[in-house]
Amino acid sequence: MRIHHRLLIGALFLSLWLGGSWGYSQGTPIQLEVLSDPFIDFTSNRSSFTLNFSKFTRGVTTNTTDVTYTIKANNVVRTEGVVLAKLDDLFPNIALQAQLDSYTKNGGDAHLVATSNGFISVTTQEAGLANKVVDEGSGKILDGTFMIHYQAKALEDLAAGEHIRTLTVIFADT
Amino acid sequence: MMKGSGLFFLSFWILGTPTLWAQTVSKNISVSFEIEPVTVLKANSESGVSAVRLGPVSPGTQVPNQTLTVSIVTNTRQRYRVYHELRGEVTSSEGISFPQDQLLFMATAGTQGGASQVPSFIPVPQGEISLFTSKSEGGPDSFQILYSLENKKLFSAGLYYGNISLDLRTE
Repeated sequence: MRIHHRLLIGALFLSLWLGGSWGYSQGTPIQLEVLSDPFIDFTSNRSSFTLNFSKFTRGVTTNTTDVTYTIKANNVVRTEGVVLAKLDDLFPNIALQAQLDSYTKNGGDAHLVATSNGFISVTTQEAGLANKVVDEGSGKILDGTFMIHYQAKALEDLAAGEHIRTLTVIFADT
Repeated sequence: MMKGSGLFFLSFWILGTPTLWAQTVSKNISVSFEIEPVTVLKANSESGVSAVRLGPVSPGTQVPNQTLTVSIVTNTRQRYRVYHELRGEVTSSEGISFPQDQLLFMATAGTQGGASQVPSFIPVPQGEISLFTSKSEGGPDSFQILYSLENKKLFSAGLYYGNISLDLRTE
């Protein structure tokens, strides 16, 4: 009996205490959704360039020209051959060469590195110039700038003339 | 006179039945009504569902704010608060977390006198935050929660999900 009394008194105090605070509660669930679309913004600071041979003999190379590219992409799943280059047609006895250099990271969770230490020949087949390196997290976001050096090499003695080709640089995220 | 009355009474007793005569029977029944305290909180977006959908997000583009209209219907006279709780992280199916500082929210004042506790945009905190307080005598009210994206960062592509709970507590 005494225990019952104590329980009753305890319950009374508890109810009085609860009555003075934020008591009754009701919850409503809400679903939150955020859709982020796949996005690529790939630009360059130049739309054309000229390489000059100072000599015409086999093995000589032209001057080197640099083109700066800016990349913003948020769905870069691909890791190898993220930046590729190709020509619409080969130059006669001339090899166009390219090399990626100095990726500057402005944001994101990954960066780019060159696929090789030296120059890579650019032909009518896509040649990989850059691979992706994951820095943290998903590594799907690239936000930065990089430079590609271009030069040409004479494969044979060259006749005087002007040759124009279209160079396509591709950024591939998947 | 006494005999006559006695005969009449006798004939009534023999011929008559109680159902032939109109009767009125009254009984007093005690009636009481118990109206239970009811408080209902509803939250609907502009599309009429209990969901907040932001996007699609693209860098450099302004994503329209999403509005959630919160209605409180109550027959009590108790002061109450509405709490906002983001339960866990906002993540994609790949497990990528949405940058939390980029998701903002605020609450308007109530149409019936309630006060916003988050009157300007702030990042949505994880866990619970007091969002709205009714006037001292409580009562029905309605207010809006506005969700926005800072959109200054590049978000990894995907569909991100999060769970929010609006909790009403009376004083």
